[in-house]
Parts: sequence; structure tokens; C-alpha cells
Amino acid sequence: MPSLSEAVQSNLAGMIKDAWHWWVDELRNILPRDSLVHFAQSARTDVWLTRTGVEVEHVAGGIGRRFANDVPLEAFEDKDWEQLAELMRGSRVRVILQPPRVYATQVRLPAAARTRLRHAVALQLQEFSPLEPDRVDWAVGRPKIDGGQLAVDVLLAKRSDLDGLQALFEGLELPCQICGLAGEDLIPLRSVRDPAQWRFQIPRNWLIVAGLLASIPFTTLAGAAALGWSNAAEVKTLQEQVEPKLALERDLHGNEALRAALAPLTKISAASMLLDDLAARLPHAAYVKAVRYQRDGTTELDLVAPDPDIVAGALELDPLLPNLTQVGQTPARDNGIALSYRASR
Amino acid sequence: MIAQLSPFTRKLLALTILFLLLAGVINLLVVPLVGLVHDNVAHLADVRFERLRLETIEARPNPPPGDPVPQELYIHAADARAAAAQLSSLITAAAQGNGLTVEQSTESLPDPPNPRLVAAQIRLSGPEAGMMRFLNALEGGKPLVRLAQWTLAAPDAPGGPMQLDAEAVAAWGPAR
Repeated sequence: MPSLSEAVQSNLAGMIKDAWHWWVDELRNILPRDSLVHFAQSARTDVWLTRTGVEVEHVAGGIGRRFANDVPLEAFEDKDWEQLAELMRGSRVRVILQPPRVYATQVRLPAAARTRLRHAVALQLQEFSPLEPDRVDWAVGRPKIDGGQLAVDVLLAKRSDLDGLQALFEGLELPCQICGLAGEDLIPLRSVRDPAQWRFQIPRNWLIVAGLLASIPFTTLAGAAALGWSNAAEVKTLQEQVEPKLALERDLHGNEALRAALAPLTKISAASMLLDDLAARLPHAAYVKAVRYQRDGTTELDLVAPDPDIVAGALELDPLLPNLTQVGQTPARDNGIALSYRASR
Repeated sequence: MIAQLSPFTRKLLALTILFLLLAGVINLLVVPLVGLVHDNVAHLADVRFERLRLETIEARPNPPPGDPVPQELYIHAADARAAAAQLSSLITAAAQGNGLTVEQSTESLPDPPNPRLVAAQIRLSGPEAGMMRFLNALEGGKPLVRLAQWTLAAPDAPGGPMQLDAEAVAAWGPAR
């Protein structure tokens, strides 16, 4: 008797499996049937295993051909296998079993059983299976609604028979899907190799394209990293090579910037030179009250002197006071006259 | 529970789950991967640009040697702030050495702004002889210092101090 934890785990695994099957089936039902496979690969080879031998139906490019061999598959010789393998290569292959090698029946279930179809069928398997359930493989077809109930085709085959077929095709490395005929429908029973592998083996070119597309970011990353590393090494070498030249250029630019900064300074008249000049030119009786030098080169001079004419004569030819004009004259104390001059460049 | 839903609702639910899974894959894998690729390609573009720049520098001829600016003409300093401090110290030392009172000495930006020029606003007062010696020492010494604008006012009463308001300007550069 299983323990409680084993039962819980089993139940949880079953729920996850059911949810997965429900989701995949819903998505599959949204798409047109077999659309992906047909879209990816149009060639098809159906290998019908009859009571007396083998019939092969090969359809490629819209052209169908039929072949028949009276020898059972299990008794094929090498040349027979070569011919069959030639037809199977590059196409979607279905090996189709017919009664009595398969047993098909229909089971009616409540509509609510749709989401747990396999479980519902498994519960009733004992009732309609001609063999013990553990000796058969079974599969269900697409359920149909009939009178408010689900009508489900169930296909059963001997497990040993399927094992033999699978081993045969696997040994010859011929991937295929083993199906059974239930009414007019084909129901997949087993796939040689993994079903997913079989399903995706057909659109191999698409897988290659998808793989190449998916690899683009990684190849871009690898390429960018390799090129970046290579360029970084070159940059380091170049930096060492051009550093003396850059230092020389920096030196030159620094000198030019200094010259440009010093140039306006050399054009400014020295204050001491102007004051010495005024002291030398003005008469002793003259008294300088203020000297103003503006940024634009304008010089303003306020002084007091007894005789404006003498002052004007002394200053008018002064090269440090170009364009000298008298801008004011007012009487001052002690018989002096307050004079204002302006010189501008 | 799912069996009780209508076929349309079940399909909608399946598509919603598919959409959420795709959105999760896009957000957790695609977006970070695209960001990583973008960063790497951008880095490669930067490195290539740097290599091209250096190759261009290497290809151009060496500049002709130029006459260096006499070092005594400018203040040697690492940056403009240090140069302005040196100018202020220079003015203060010259003024105090000639018996003048430094009423104000503040660093200022030159007008017009020039990254190789520093300026100081100064206000000094003192006797006429000291003022003349100061100006001669400042403008005649090294480095080259000029008063960009100034006002020299005589005392109102005989024997009083003269007053000088000025903006002193000097060039600066790194020591070679």
C-alpha cells in the first residue's frame, strides 16, 4: 500500500500531466489539423501492413504512387528494405496496422470527461480490451459529440507486436509513426524514436533555420567580444605610439592659448606709466584729483589747475591720452579751476 | 473545473497561458539578451571609433616646433583657482611691501572670460609714493600683471591716503 506522501506526489504528477495534455490539446485543436507537418513537409509515405503483405502509398509533389509486395514486412529481404527505405527517406512515414493486428472500438463517455479523456478510457479499458490491459498499447482518437455524450474511438494493439515493429524500424534507423486504422481515421499508437523527435524531424529545415536565428544574438555577442578585444589591443598600441605626438600638440596648444591670453594684456597701458607721464607733463600748480581707466581704453582725468590753457597745451600731444577732449570746467577753491578730460582710443 | 467551461473559454484560457509564457520568456530571456548584445555592440563601436581617431592622429604629420612662451610672463599653477590665489598673494605682498593697506583683495572672473586668465578685485590705500612704487613693482615685475580697469583718487585733504580701486589681470599656465 503506497504511503501518504507517495500518493500525494502521484496525484500531483497526474494533475500536472493532465493539465499539460489539456493545454497542448487545446492549442492543437485551435490549429488546423496537421497544418505544421504538412506545411513543413508535403511528402508522405504510408506503409499499409495487410493480411498478405505490404502496400506502400507514396505521395510527393502532388503525385501519388502505389507499390505492393506479397511478402510480410517481417520477411523482407535486403533489396526489399532498400526499396522501402528509398521511399521513406525525406517523407513523413506512417506504418499502418489494420485489423486483426489492431482492435478498434468506440466508447461513450459523459461530456465532462473531455479534459480527462485518457483517465476515463483507462477506467473502462478492462471492460472492452480483448487482452489483459497490461499486454496492450492503446490510443484514443479525436472525441466527437454525439447526443450530449462523447464518442471516442479507442484503438488497441498487442504491445509485443508494436515492440517488434519498433525494434525493426529502429534497427534500420527508419523513423516513422506506427498507426492503427479505426474506422476511417488513423490513430497514432507509437512513434519510432521519441514522438516529439518524430514530430520535429520532418520540419528539420525549419529547425535549422530556427536554430540559426536563435544563434544570431550569441554569435553577435561572441563576434563583438572578439572584435572588441582585438580593437582594444590595437587601441592600446596606438595610444603608446601617438602619446609623444599628442604631448607635443598639447604643448603647442597650451602655448597658443597662453599667447592668446597674454595678447590683450600687452595692449593695456600700464597705470604706472600713465601716472609718471602725467607727473612729468603737468605744471607744478596743477593738482590731479582722480584718474579713471576703463576697460574699453577710455581714460578720464579730473584735476585742478590755475590756467586751463597751460594744462591743455601740456596734455594735448600726450601719446598716452589719444583723442583728448575737455569735458568739464568749473571754478574751484583758491582761484583754481576744476577741469575734466577724457581720452579714448 | 475546466470541464465546466465553454469550449471558447477553454481556448481563450489556453491562449492566455501561451501568451503569459511567451511574455515571461521575452522578459526573462529575450530582453536581457538583446540588452547585452546592444551593450557589446555599442562598446565595439566605441572602441572602433577610438581606434579610428588614434589612426588619424598617427597619420597626420608632426606639428612644427613652436617658440615657447617665456615662462616668466605667466603664473605657474596647476589650475585657475591656484593661479588666482597666487595673483592675490602677489598683489598683497607688493602692497604691504610698499606701505599700503590692502582693504580688499578678492579673486574674480576675467572679463571677457578666458580660461588662461585670472583676475582679482583690489582696493588699496596709502601714501602717494608708496602707491607709485607699488604700481611700478606690480606692472614692471614678473609675471606680467595689468590693471584692466582702475580708479586712483587723491586724498580730499593734504597728507591723506590715496585710494586705488582696480581689477588686476594675469595669465596662467602649467609649469614646464
